Amino acid sequence: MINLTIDGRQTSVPEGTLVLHAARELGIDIPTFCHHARLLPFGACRMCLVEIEKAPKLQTACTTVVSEGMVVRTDTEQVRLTRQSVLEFLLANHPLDCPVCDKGGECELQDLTHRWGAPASQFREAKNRKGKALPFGPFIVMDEERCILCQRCVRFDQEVLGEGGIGLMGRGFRTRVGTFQGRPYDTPFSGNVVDLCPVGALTSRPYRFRARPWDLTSVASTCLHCSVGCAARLDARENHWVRLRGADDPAVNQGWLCDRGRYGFGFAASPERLTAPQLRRGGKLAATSWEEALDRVVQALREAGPDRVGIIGGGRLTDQEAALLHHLGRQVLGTAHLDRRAGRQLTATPHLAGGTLEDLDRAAHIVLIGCDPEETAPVLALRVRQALRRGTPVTELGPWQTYGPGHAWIPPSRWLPAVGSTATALAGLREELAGQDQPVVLVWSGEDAAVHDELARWRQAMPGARLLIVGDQPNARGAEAAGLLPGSGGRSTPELLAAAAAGDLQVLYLVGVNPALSFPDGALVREALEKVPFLVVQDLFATESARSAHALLPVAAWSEKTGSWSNLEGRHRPLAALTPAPENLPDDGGIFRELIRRLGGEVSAPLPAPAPPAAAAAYPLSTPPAAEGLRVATVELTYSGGGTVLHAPALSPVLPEAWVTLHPEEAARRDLAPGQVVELSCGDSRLTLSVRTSAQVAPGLALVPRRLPHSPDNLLTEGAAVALTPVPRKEVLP
Amino acid sequence: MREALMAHARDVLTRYPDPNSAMLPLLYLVQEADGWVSPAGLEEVASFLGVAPAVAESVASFYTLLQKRPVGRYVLQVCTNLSCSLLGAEHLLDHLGRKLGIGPGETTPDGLFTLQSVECLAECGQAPVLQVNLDFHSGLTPEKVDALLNALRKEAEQDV
Ligand code: SF4
Ligand code: SF4
Ligand code: FES
Ligand code: FES
Repeated sequence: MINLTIDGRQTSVPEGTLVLHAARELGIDIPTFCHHARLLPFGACRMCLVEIEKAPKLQTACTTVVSEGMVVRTDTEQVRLTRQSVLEFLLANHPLDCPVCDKGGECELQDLTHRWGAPASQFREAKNRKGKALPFGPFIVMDEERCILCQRCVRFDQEVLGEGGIGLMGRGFRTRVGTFQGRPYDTPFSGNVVDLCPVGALTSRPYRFRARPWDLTSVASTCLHCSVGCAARLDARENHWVRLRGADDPAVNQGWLCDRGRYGFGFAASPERLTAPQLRRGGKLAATSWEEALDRVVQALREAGPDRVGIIGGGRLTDQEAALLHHLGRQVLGTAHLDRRAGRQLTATPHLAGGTLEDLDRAAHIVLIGCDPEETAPVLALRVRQALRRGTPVTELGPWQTYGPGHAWIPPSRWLPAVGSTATALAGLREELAGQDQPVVLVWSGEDAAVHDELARWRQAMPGARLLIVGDQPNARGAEAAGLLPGSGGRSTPELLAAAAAGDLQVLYLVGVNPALSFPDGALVREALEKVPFLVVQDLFATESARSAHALLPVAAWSEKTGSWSNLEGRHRPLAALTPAPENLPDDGGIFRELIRRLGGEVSAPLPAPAPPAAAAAYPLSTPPAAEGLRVATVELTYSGGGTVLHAPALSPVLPEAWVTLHPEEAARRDLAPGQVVELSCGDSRLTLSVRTSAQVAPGLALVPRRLPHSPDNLLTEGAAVALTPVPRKEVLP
Repeated sequence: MREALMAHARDVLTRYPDPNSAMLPLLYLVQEADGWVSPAGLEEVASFLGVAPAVAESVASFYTLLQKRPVGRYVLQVCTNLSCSLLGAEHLLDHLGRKLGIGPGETTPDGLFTLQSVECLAECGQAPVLQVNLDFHSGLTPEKVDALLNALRKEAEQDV
């Protein structure tokens, strides 16, 4: 410990502590601009200057490390005048357009000027003019005149993202923050610079002029867009959700968010949202009362009997709602045909020792199995990026490589039998890595039964290994813990769909899932939804799966309900209601309660605990026979999906077009150039796609994005041979 | 990076323990080859060093010796910082502008001269100062400037 005196008070702090933090611990506040708890010490703004005995000049508290016997003064006249001058210089060229600045009211420059600034400025000269309201990427607007050059944004981009997309351009009083040649700031984490900017230089386009901070009501909650579960603050003005900002949960997101989470909130206010229950009458869905809708559903459930009812979904519910759904299915309806799964993910619950996000920080080796966290768990990927920068070896197993040349990539897979399966490659890696004393962290998509079996062997060979499963639905893990998996004798999702298609199922109840888009066998799911005599769809939107519904039950969104859920670590994540649901819509839990009541059941609190989930039940997906030529592989993208992403207007500039990515050699062999439009045919199915090339896709594969509503990948059979035919230009133009 | 520059660039790299330190000499290498540092040149250097192009632009934008737009054969950089200004740098700049028919930042139609105003050239003792490409000319008067322009024109003619 180091002993020092600050403003006459003795303290002792660990070696290496910054003077700033030592002072804060004593409750002595030193004003700062450029300092940020999640960025490295920098010392750009000089706001934090303090007196240190024996030092010839004032020192920056944010970069000076304590030393034994140090005597610091923060309360002298010289320090006060220095703060005043620093502010005076910052304000000399500041536009002071606070009345029209989004940041006004929560601006660090305003606050510190209020506290420390001079009553009047000595500057009489004209102010320096720079760019106003410049586009800075799809979500951000830059006001160069308001920038105080603290470089928090630049440092975030370099230290946290490791991208180098923003830099200080020019010098002297012309210095500004910019991107290469003024191109859009193109990163899936762009919005974080808005949270970081202490002033109104970087502002969010969707929030521009929407509110004044003092008119906002806020709740502390979590982002429910993926299984990471980033801590967030949600802000509403007059019951309109206007903003979502990062909150610092050290074990989860450390304040960061991805742009999908930050800017994907518009769905809640979408005019496309369902606001009244609907029933099918004379072949058409028509709005009806809750009374009638629930009666009809209850009647259908009663008539069907337990064995001819199936329930799919649960990964978007809160833990409490998932328990209610389990109770409704298992006890009240008495059916074992419950499955939360509606996509390719077999399991969300690690049977290998479950890992934490922080395990990634101390991993000896990270193995990514069929999983691109950059797309499906962006803020988790930030930890992978940090690990790569520390030199932690990362091995990727999958049809494409995310982290580029220079890192290990085994492009094996069920798609390319000649190379060997993912499980075989994983077995090889197990032998190679056995004997490591430090933990190996595996990050898996939860797909592929063979990988599942191989991971059981890892558990034996390497008890220290840790597993994280990136789910296709945020609360997949909570749903499994609540027992939303087929019980003994119960049918899994593929079995339920097959039964429905074969006429062996009376009622299919879809809860917050859209299998028409997400289930890999597109033909089967379409037939099943078409044929089942009574289809109940409970969702925010009339999704692809709702087209043939007989009953459509709208629900409250996650920003309209309170509860908790479990992220991919199984960590408790709170949800708090920000705004009331439109038309007083019930939440999913409310509907389950009402159904339970009407079916004569009881909601005893607490609900009986479900049996621990069985390790992933069989979930067979067909493997096509080996074939010559190109084979289809699919990839989940951040902006895949037909629900909340599609209906969030702010996201429209970044929604993916339908593409097919080929290895450059495959493209050259077929005489295809990037940008060219092709028809991809696979069996009887055809998709029109534009060609991209990347050396990070395994040769022999045609990589297609998953779950695009306008180009459903599940019409193709993963692993099947495909043909590509160029489409002449005129045909694709309207 | 272009083949012609590659050998040179690799040699530059061997002189620095941290490859990023080679940024400036590499940018200068590109400028020597192209006459200026174009966006493509910035990207070339960045990808050679394995950094983002914005990093290269950030470095290049700091230095007035690196030209971010095409320039004439002679770049006349007039110092307009304090000492030079006190000794008439503004008049010198005006004078040059009139003689050449261009303003600061512009290039004569014949592509011979580019006029720029720059910050302190570290020759304050001999102010006012200007720099023609890499050569200093100090203690300037309008007459000396006229003579300088004539000499440069002559040099250019002889080279044709
Ligand atoms: S834009 Fe904001 S965060 Fe970036 S340097 Fe300027 S003031 Fe700082
Ligand atoms: S990483 Fe996931 S939880 Fe975090 S902000 Fe993005 S979508 Fe939301
Ligand atoms: S906070 Fe210390 S220099 Fe900016
Ligand atoms: S001020 Fe002109 S050279 Fe220094």
